[in-house]
Amino acid sequence: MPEDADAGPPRMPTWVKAFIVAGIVIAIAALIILVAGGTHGPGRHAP
Amino acid sequence: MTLGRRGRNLLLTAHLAVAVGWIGTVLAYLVLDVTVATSRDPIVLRSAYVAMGRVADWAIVPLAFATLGSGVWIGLGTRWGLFRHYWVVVSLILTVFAVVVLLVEARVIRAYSNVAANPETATSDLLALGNTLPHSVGGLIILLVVLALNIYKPRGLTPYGWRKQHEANAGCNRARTDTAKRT
Repeated sequence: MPEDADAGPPRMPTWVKAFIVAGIVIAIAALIILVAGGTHGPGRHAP
Repeated sequence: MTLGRRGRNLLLTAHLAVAVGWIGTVLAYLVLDVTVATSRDPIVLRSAYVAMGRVADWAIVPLAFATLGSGVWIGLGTRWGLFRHYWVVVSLILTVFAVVVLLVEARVIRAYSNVAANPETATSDLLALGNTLPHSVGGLIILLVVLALNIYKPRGLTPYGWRKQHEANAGCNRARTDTAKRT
């Protein structure tokens, strides 16, 4: 069904919002691991 | 440039082949990754690390680039576009993210492979090398999510896609009105 031309752009679908939230959660988790001094990252194999 | 039917089908066939190939090679890599994570046998470890390096360099990385390149080409050459539908945008972002992480991780895998290929490497050093399971499992999950998005194509036009569709509809209506006036 085409969107109503006068109504303006459609709102962002819920599934996209869920993807954005999941991405932010994963990014924060990765950041916490890095800041907490974990062994994550390509530099972990440096001598 | 919009692709013709033949060109589109040919490109889609190539894209599906390399994309599914990428998933397949990641699965093969995962088997080797689980092997180095669980085995204590130095011969098995040495072989698995060397194989991981070969699979990553000669299969996963080229297939990743081929998938990204053919996907962008399809997006630009068809009505789907690259930024018109949310499922295409999300697929593109996830694929670019997967390729970037893969390129960083490929250096680590190459380092493992070189250490394992060196006959002078001691067994204790081999056992201390570790694995790349979080990245290979995470990568596989991302690829499966992108695969699902490409099959289900969930609805949702971006503001840019909506504007483009609106312009196309307005153009069609104008052409229809002109034709009706002439007849």
